[in-house]
Amino acid sequence: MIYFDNAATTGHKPQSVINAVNYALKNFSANPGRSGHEYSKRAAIAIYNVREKVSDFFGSTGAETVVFSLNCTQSINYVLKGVLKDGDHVIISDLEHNAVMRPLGSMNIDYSQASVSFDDDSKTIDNIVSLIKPNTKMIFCSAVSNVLGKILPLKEIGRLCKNRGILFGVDAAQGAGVIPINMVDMNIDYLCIAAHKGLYCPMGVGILIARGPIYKSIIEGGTGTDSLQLQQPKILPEMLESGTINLPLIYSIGAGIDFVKERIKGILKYENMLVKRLYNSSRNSNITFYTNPNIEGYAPVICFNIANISSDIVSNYLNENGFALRAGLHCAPTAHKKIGTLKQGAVRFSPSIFNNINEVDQLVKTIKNFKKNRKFSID
Amino acid sequence: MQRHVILVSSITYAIKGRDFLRKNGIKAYIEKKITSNGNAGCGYVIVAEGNKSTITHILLNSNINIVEINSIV
Repeated sequence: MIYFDNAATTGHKPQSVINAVNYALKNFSANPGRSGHEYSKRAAIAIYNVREKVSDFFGSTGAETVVFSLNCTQSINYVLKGVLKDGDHVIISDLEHNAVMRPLGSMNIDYSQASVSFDDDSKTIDNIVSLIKPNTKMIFCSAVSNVLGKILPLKEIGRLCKNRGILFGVDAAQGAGVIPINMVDMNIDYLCIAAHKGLYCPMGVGILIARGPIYKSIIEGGTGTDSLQLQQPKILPEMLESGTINLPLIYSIGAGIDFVKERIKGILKYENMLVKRLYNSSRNSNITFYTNPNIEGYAPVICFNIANISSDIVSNYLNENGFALRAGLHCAPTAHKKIGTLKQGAVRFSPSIFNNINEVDQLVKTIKNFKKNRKFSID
Repeated sequence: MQRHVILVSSITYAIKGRDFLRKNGIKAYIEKKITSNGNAGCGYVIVAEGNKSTITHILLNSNINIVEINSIV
């Protein structure tokens, strides 16, 4: 199976990450920050060192800003539900994942969706500015669209937020480890990260980096601090880390960051080259790509359809021929609505650093064989 | 040399404080809070050796909230 579904989770993990999980299981199987014995302290220090590494890599202001969660969705929930209250207004983009849409929907918060321009970031900024209200508390958007690969102009949005006194939150599920992100430089208050994607870690661990305030937690429980108090402590990161954290996976984040850090300049360029290879080799009148990777401002995620054939049928055919790609709506119906694929869905191609040109060429050949064997009149 | 037992808000801040103190040449380590007055409960302390006002100054400059500081002669 040739794996091109890395936007869902990176299919190949570096040996250093696997080794880190094993090392942690063997050496740090004590509850960090709880019991106080040497073994527990050693585990706590190992976790702290990962916090520092995460803070440094994403340009935050210290280990205490780094919260570990189950996944990026949980981190987003911590931000939206921990900061916003009745009467607040939020601006999001029209490319957001349901990890943003559903929490906002459940909270009954007033939100506006700014249209993202595919080729002119200044238009995106203008669209955001036009939606700002006196009660706009936060702008929250993806770093990279999980459907279209569009990189949002984070630095410009951050500057706008700073000038207007608005909090800035970013869903970096697709961006972390792929594009450079510096929270201080970009004025990002909240950065939500899926470690199992661009940081090449196992599934089941996410990160929230919070430079801005979190007023309340959506979970409560033991934190290893202030045990006499029946109220949840307000100090990060423990405020959001009640219950025993997943130390082996968190420990592997350090190895994941080391792996990416050594290659950060090359990853985007290499993976975009693979996307361009697919686009330039298979583009013709029967294949629709929804973005053009030859223009600047895109990360290595691209969607396509073959004529009007259901994306599920195409991805199923590819699966039968040894290729893993994801079809459907990718939990982002707003993005699919924008490109007119709510009914058909689309097939998403998302390579990683472990893919190569030969694999892409094999995919192109398989797509062409599909076309030869099909009549384009399914609906 | 005077020793100080500094209670901070969490294990994260205890490690951060320890590291800042060490970077400033002060001998410091962390340990679990040990209570003898019945005021039990989880928590970590930094144990540091040196001038109290210098230690306090370093920690406050590092944005570390000191919950309590007790000096041992």
